[in-house]
Amino acid sequence: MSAIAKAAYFCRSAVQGVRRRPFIHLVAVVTIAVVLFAAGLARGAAQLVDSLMLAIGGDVEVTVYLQEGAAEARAGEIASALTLKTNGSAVVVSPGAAMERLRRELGELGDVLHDLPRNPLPYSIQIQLPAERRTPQELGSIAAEARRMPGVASADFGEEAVARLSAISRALRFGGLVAFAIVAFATVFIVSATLQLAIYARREEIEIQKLVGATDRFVKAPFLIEGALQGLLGAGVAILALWMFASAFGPKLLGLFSFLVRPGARLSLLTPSLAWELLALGCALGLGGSFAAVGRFLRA
Amino acid sequence: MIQMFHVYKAYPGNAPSLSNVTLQVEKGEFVFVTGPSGAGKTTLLKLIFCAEKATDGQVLVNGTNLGRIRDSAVPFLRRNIGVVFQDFKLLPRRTVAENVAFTLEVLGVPQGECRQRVMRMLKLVGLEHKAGTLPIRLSGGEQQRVVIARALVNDPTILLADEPTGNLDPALTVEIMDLLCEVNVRGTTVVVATHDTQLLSRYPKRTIKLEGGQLVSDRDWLGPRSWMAAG
Repeated sequence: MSAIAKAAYFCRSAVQGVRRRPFIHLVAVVTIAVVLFAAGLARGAAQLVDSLMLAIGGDVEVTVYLQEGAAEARAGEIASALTLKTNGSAVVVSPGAAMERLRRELGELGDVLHDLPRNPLPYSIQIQLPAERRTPQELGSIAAEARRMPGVASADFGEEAVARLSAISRALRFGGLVAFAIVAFATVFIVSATLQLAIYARREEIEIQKLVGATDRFVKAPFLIEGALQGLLGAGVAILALWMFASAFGPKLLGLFSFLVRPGARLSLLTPSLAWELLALGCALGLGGSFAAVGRFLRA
Repeated sequence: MIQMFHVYKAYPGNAPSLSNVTLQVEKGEFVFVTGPSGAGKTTLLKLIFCAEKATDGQVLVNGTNLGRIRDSAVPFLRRNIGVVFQDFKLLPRRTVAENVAFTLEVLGVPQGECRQRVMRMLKLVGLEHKAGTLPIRLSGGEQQRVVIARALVNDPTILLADEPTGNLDPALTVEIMDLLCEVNVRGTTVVVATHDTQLLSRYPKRTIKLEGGQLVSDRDWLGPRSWMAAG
């Protein structure tokens, strides 16, 4: 007995099965493709939000405000301490420089600042973290540490935006997971039903196979390969659709969030890892459906 | 080779198909199982290739007790038993050669060897020139010969034939029976279920007669079998 000959037979038989009943298989492939497209979209959206969070983490630096009246020397000490702790860079901004920047940002309205009796802005320190530490968690912990330092009034890093994006990401992941579980169950059912039609069409062949000494595994194998093929084809279609969707709407999405990301940054809806995940999921859905169908048939 | 001891087979709600059947078939024998319709001939064959299990009693094939055989072992038992069905059970969308090769595909025989063995078997049954033909284009006798080729292509030790000439005219009947005799001469144990009495008189072989599920006679051309005469 040759394992290669058997494997070749299984593959031939599976491909023949798909070619003989293209419509039945098309239904299963389209179903899998729709489900995986939706799952990919949800997963891609969650990844997009993650990217945004990382972008925010990279661009929004931690700004430490010193108490009013703090000396420049104290600002320098705090900046040195934070530089050591973060391995990043810390720049001391004097009240005068801060006022000048505010005036620039306000544009024409900046003239009103001339009327102030004195400069109310304190010394501040802008901390830029190294790339590998630019996460919302790191930013949060540095800000908390800075707040505990003597002479520091407050520390800010755009906490609210990060927290909201985190919540959106979590909701997308959880909602996507629940929706995917429900739809995946329905898909396995549909794939199983379509394969049952294919199995029913080949019942005579299976009966003869069993009579001439085929094991259950031998009977199952071509149908499992058919199921896996359906899943892979469905995943392929879903990946193609996602790619087309990303090509069509990706630039618009990037434009929508351009205020949050650095110039030149890319927001990718379809990553290679997502494509591999979809292929694996498609394969699992197809195999699950065919396993259920052929198992039910053989038990009957 | 085949042994049955006090075998009963009953289907729910029906009278027993087989009742207290005891028999023994030696290696290389040619045996007719005869009797009217509903006598239990097909059930007896089904018990031998494990398509059914006996309700009571023991069935042994090649020393394997079929009452205790695991489901996963049944396919391996069947690889030693060729079965010829009255309704042929040929795959209509496969050619003659593909139908015969079907048995070898199950065994994982490489394609090259498979082709050689199929052609050798088709030559034996006189159909090598019809290898690429679909079964629907063959006569009844030719279809039955394809079934015999499929049953024999993996060299089984036992050949079971259920009414192999039931759908054939007298000329084709002789043709198929001669082929089965030739297979038997080559060493294969052959068990043929038939209700055709003309066939029995034409081919003087051991004949087991069933009636209402009971074994009523077991004779060969010398007379009753010794165990029957004694019992």
